[in-house]
Amino acid sequence: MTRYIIRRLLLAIPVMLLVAVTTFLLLHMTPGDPVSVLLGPDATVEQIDRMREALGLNDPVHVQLLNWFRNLAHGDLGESIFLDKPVTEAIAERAQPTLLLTFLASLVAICVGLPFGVISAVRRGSTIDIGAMLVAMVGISMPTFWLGLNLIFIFGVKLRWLPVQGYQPLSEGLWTSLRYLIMPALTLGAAQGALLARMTRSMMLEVLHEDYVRTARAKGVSERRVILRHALRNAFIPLVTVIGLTFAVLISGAVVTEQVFGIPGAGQLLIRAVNRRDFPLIQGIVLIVALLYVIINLIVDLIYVFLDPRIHYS
Amino acid sequence: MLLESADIQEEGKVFVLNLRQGVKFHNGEEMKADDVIASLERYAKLSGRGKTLFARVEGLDKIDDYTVRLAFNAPTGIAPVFLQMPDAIIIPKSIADAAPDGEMGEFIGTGPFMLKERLPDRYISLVRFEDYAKRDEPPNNFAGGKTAYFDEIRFIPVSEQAVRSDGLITDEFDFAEDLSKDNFEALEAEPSVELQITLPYYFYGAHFNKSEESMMSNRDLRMALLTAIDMEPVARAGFGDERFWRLGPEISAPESAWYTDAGKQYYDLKDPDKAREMLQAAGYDGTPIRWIATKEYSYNYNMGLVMKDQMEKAGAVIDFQVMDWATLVSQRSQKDAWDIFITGHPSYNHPILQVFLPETWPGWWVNSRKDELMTAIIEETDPAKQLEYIAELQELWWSEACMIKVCEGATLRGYRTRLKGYNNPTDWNFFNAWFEE
Repeated sequence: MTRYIIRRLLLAIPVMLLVAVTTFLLLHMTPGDPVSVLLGPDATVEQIDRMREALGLNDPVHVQLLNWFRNLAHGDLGESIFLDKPVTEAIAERAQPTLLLTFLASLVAICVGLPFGVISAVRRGSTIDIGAMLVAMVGISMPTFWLGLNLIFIFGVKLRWLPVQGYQPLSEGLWTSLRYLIMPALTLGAAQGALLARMTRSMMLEVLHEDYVRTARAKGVSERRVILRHALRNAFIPLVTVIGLTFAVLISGAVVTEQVFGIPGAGQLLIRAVNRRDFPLIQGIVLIVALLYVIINLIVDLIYVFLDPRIHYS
Repeated sequence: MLLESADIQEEGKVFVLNLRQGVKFHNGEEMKADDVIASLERYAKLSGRGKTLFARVEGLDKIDDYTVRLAFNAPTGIAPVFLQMPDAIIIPKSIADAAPDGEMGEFIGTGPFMLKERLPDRYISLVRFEDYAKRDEPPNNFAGGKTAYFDEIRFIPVSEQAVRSDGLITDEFDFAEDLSKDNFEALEAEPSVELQITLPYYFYGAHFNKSEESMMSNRDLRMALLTAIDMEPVARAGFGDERFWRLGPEISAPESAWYTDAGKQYYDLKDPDKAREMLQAAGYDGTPIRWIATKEYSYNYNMGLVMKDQMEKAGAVIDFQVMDWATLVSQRSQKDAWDIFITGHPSYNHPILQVFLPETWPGWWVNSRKDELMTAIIEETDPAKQLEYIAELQELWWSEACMIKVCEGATLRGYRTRLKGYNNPTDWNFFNAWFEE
């Protein structure tokens, strides 16, 4: 098992390298220059040139790439051009809101998606099933920012229950922090919850027709136990993959949600970095998100072992 | 604000600046001549305007702790206009010396509010400066006596326009910038919200690339395109209903001391047929005209589309390239990469401060008469004479079809009705403003 984990982590290295090189090259092929954005419309040509020189942007691309890799090997992601601080520090400052938001959104997705998926499968064709799947369909189709703006209008402006935007860190108190995150988490979790409900339903429908479910029922096992122990547990393996991916998708989905709700998280940091062509910062964020994907996939694979004793990694 | 008085000597060649005594910096030190000299030397090196002004400076000397002598090589009546702009800030000598050609490490000024903290992309917090040395004159926008009634002012970046107005309605913000004009009626119906349609503000128009590398270096071609434009629909596309824009050929707004309607015979001609003839006479062969635009600023894209349509009706072929603002800014600095782009410029400033006048700015307007007029404006100490030069400059700007100026566009701001003493200035400020519950 340990050997498997080590092998998987080693395999992640070429993946990360590929991500790093691709991001770097794509960014440097994109037109747009951080220096002209930074210095503003009044900047003279020599000011721009002096700053480009100071930032190393006048070097040929392969030299810049090699420099970046050399620093990367030392765990140094470089300095953000705009924020004037190390990229790792900038990301670390913004990690809390994003992770908290992603966690809450996953919770929303799971708490809504799983029960409705199971109930819809068990009561296939009933009003609940049709109703739940209709809502799920709408949930998947709705653009995140539109849902967000509507929630703000209803709960923020009309009912005045929740603040319309902003963020308070956990250190300000759990409820204070949560008040700001409820609407963003609902917004972000809705589409994934809907997806999860639909996946759960079809997985459950498949499993409910298996022989072992019929056998369990024939043995006189209570319906509740049949569904939860026999059916759901078996349906769960593909669902874990979906949930794992959900978490990863939510991290990148946080970009839009954070923008709408004015949450100073990593997603907002990324958008601003792109608008300002803050190369080191964009590269750093993309690398870290890619790393999260790799880790989440690994965790998902490891969970399989606990769910299904037949699976062995060696 | 920091001067007791200024003596202008030798017909505008020498300015003796008498500093106010007892003015404290935010770090507690008193502002003296050494600070002023160090600050202005830094300004001369770093600011574009500072470079322009100091190209004429012969000497900047300390006479005593409260007197500075600024000597020019020729009369420079314009000096006060330059020195009142925010880039000519006065900071302690220690800070100016620590960052002679780069970003300041600390932000220390003399104003009624001082910086408490800045968290990038989160907020900037200003607090009242208790030792502020207030002037005795009555308040007058940025001049006169200023009183800081607020303990703290927080500037929070909120990128979503809808959320800015929602937060204003729900009382999470006291003041909001750049609100959606589509929300005007809804916001107007809110009893606790006051709206400000800010004019004068900026004027907007399309710049031509007048460098040799662009076909727009042909003045007749530019004039043909200018002749085709019907300004009203363009203004409407950019800024919505009439409340939010006004037409006119002026560079500086009618409310300003530098207003003139010179050049109006070239403005708003809306004559596509004549434009077609002029295009042919100018030798236009149907080569696509490269227009760089962005959707990041809605006026940029919307005005561009309407103007493109009007120019095409006169027979021009427009290659409308949409990109993000960062790309546009870097592309427009390349002489061979574009022919037209739209942007805005403040209409409440002295015209000499406009960035598009010097030939180094994208647009690259090279013209010897322009240079003479700019020098004349800089030297002139008599406002009436200065206005004559400004009128001639504006006339030249139009007759050379440097730019298709379309309209002034307003920005919509909103604030809670409890905010009093704000007085709707063009550049917002919260001196002498308070809350009345």
